Amino acid sequence: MSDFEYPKPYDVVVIGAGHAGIEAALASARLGCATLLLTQNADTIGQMSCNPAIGGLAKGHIVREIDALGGAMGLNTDATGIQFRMLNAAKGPSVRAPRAQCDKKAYQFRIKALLEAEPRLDLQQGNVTRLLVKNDAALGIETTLGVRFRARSVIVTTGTFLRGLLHVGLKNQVGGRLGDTVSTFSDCLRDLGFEVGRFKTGTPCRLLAKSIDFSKCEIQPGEEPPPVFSYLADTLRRGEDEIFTLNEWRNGTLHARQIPCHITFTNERTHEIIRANLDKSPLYAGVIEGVGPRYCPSIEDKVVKFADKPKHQLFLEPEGRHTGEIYVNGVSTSLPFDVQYAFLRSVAGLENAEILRPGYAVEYDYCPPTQLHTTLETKRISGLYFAGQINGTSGYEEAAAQGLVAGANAALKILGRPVFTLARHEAYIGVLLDDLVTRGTPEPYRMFTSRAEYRLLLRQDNADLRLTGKGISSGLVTGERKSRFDQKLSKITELKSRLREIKVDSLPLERWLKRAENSWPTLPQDIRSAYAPDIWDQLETDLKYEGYILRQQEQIARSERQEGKEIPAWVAYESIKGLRTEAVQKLTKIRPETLGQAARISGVTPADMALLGIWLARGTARPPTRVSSHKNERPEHQ
Amino acid sequence: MTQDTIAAVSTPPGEGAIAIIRLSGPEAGTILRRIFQPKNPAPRRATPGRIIENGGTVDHVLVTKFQAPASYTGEDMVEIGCHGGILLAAQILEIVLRQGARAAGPGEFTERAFLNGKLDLTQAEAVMDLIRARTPLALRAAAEQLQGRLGDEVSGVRADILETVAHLEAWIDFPEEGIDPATGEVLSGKISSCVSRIERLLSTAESGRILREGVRVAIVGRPNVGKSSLLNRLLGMERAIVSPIPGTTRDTIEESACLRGILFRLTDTAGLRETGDPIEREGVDRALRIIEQADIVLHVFDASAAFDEPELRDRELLVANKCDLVPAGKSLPVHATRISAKSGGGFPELVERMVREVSGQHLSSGQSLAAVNARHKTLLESAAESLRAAEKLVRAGEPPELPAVELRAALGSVGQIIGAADTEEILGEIFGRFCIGK
Repeated sequence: MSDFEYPKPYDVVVIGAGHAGIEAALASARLGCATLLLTQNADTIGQMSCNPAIGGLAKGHIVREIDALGGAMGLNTDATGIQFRMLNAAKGPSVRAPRAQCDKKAYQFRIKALLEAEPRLDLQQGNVTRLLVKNDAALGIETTLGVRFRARSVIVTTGTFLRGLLHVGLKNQVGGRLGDTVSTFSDCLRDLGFEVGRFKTGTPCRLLAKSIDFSKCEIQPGEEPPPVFSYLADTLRRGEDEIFTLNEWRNGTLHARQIPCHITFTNERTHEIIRANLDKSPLYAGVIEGVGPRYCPSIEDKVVKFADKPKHQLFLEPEGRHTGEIYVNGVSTSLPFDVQYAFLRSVAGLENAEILRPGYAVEYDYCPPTQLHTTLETKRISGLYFAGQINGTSGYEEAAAQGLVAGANAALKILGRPVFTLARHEAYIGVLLDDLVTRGTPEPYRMFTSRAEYRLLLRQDNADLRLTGKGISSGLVTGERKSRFDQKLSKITELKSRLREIKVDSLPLERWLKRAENSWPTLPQDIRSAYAPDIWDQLETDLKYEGYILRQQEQIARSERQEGKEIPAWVAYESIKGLRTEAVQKLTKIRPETLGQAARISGVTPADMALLGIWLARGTARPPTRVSSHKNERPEHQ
Repeated sequence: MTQDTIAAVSTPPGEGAIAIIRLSGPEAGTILRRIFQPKNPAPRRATPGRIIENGGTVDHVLVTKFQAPASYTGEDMVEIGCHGGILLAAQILEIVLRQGARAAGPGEFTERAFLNGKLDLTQAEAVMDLIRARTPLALRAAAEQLQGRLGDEVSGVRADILETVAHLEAWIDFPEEGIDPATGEVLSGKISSCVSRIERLLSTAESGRILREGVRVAIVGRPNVGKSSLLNRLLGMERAIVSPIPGTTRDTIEESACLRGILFRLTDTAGLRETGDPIEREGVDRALRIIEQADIVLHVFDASAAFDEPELRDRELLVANKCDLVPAGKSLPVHATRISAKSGGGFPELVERMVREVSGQHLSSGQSLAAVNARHKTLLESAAESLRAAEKLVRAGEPPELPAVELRAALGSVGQIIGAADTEEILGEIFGRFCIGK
């Protein structure tokens, strides 16, 4: 094997160019670090391995947050979306969320071009075999070709590729995605002492559009004007060579040629076929050991667990504008090919359907995320960061959010600047980070709005007001996004200061807007036109829900007391008199960073918290006198 | 450090000449001002005055105020010394809790003292042991109290709320899964049935109190109808537990008697009559208040003299005394229980009627009810309040995330009685009930 040390040293190397890797690499490069993004296959960058959609409840919120922090996912979705909808439009503002079907290929190629164009960011194809470590600090990585890259930080975003095992019926093969190769990098992580677990997920089959009878299905069109994800959507222009930018902003709206989805249903015959073949399902035959997500069960699971449901809804989603590939949302399965073929053809509209790709299940290694700091740096190896499915999450949006946080922190650490973290009351990303590092996850983790205790504050429409300021101070947000945000903020401040002075129907505007029957679009023209619609939306929502917003803010203030109390990293929990053994074990393993985090660890009781609180408050806490830095020294991996 | 204000009865439960209710925290002074006359007693000085609620005097007390950091806990503190007996102290504690204090957990005053540097290090380990015992102890106490039907009922209400929350959350988080909308009559109906269940629980709190603290009996009537003899006779009937509480400014006497296994707290009141004497009038006013709070009122009249048949209200039993002196043929009200305090005649019948009255009011189904204590009561009340707010929001057609806030608050309150429900449990309920999964 050749032994080549790559001549260019990097600050940050990102392993994997999926949704997490992309945001990680962009954040790191934009903060000023020389960054390398390594991928096994430069043709599958930014691939949507499962359904062709971005956003939805809580996930759409996350995309808006990523965008507010300067990430790429939002604008790339706006540029390549082929069907846009605002979910829950009839419910309240905090639980509305945008969702878009994207042209998968356009999404990938557009983002690849973006990465290629980014200063300080290099893109390379390569398969990483191991991490180079010295004194518990990351030094770089080595590829299967024997090329060694030096780096000060390494971010691992390997998705389902770690020891990936694909199942179609009782046949299985290694790979991170059907048709792709596998990574053995988790062996190296295991050798370094990381705990490694196994999860499972699945994907449905893809069909050929021309073999589907859409006339038997219900049509679901997109909305006009399309609800967008990015605060910069109005900057979208289709340059002459930008053939992968499908949509552009003109005359105050996004222009997108939308393609509808279709809805059909399974029936009793479908379920009979599935039931008769359960013995051929790797899930039911006990072949699959990884834990799958409850919110995304396979069709065989649905048929078994909800046996009384006579039908299940299927969405037929186009995968792009220039392809006839149709994603069948709702029939994730690992049944054998012939069974898939048979049960699909029992569905209305799919009687003559031709399978383009079969559905399959994938099992993969992940590292329980309680091994991480909130910055997503591992506790074990300094300068090593994990983001995305390696942390036990699922979803493009959850992955991208972690990528952004890991990339930002890897760079900030190198630059010697303060860490970038978000709290539970600031962002869904904050909820995500805290849940992962303090509680871990028993199944592939997906965000739901019900996970956010301050849901009323975390609206998709105010993501910029919540986060862009933080993005600016950390350096993630610059240029046009920054100047627009500053303008918006001053406009809002100005309008707020005039709320009592402006009169409508002889009422102060503040009181007028609070009334349920009033809304800003019915304001007199001269008042209304002075401010942009998004500013009015913000203000009106804030006023209408003021009581509840205040209440949640009070709750936050109360919990801040615990959240703000840091627990030193060197605490020897076993030396705290009175702590129960279970609490000592959990606390030692997870090493919470604050009292608030400690309280959320399952198995830590209020009594344990009181003891810990007293121990910290009394100042009996002292670091050990002799800190041995050589205790955990490991030889360099060569 | 901002802390909430805690309160507890700090003297041991049981009979005693006085009881002390203690408050600690930043709101202690404010709460005192709202319930105490004079409004602003000087710190570190025992100040006599009255605890007032809804314009009425609850008790005459001795209050001592301490200002941070010169107090046991190092925070603002108030100590209210009231007349003894579990009932009165519990009543004052409830008033304090209604004014915004939180019921303190065991050891919490000491914990605060410790945190504020009021205890030295040698005391530290003992305190830690105490606090360490807090949750298991509290849990065991709660478990004991919540055995049987009462505990089942609380678990049942919690499960109902959890189910409602799960439905609402599923409908919010999975708009494309064809979940029945959680709106309108069905939802508000579910919520209001949770409210009724909690209200029933709260009404059993009253039964629990009677079992623990005794049935409050007021003996009233015009002067010289034989109220005191009646009291003495009742006390003498069986092995009575007697502990006279000399009234300082009051002219009522409270005694306890265990009759047929039930604890009765008998209060002899001043004779009811119009009077110009201010002292006597105060006694009459006091008697009227005692009547108001009583579970049973024994309305006594002298059967041997001329009398107006009194108007009886709920909970009132008419007692004809001095029946040994009644001339033959004199007609007495039919529903009056005829006794002679002097001879003891008619007393078994009177006790029988009192027991029947209690059973009718509170122990009708013969349930074995454990006590709902003040902490549980506060939590159940706050759960009911959140649920009512949720119901109102649903009926007003407000978006679902608003009632969700209230429902989750209710779940949190009930959860503090029998174990918290976290997001994982809500998600578990959702995925167990609804087929989610695109």
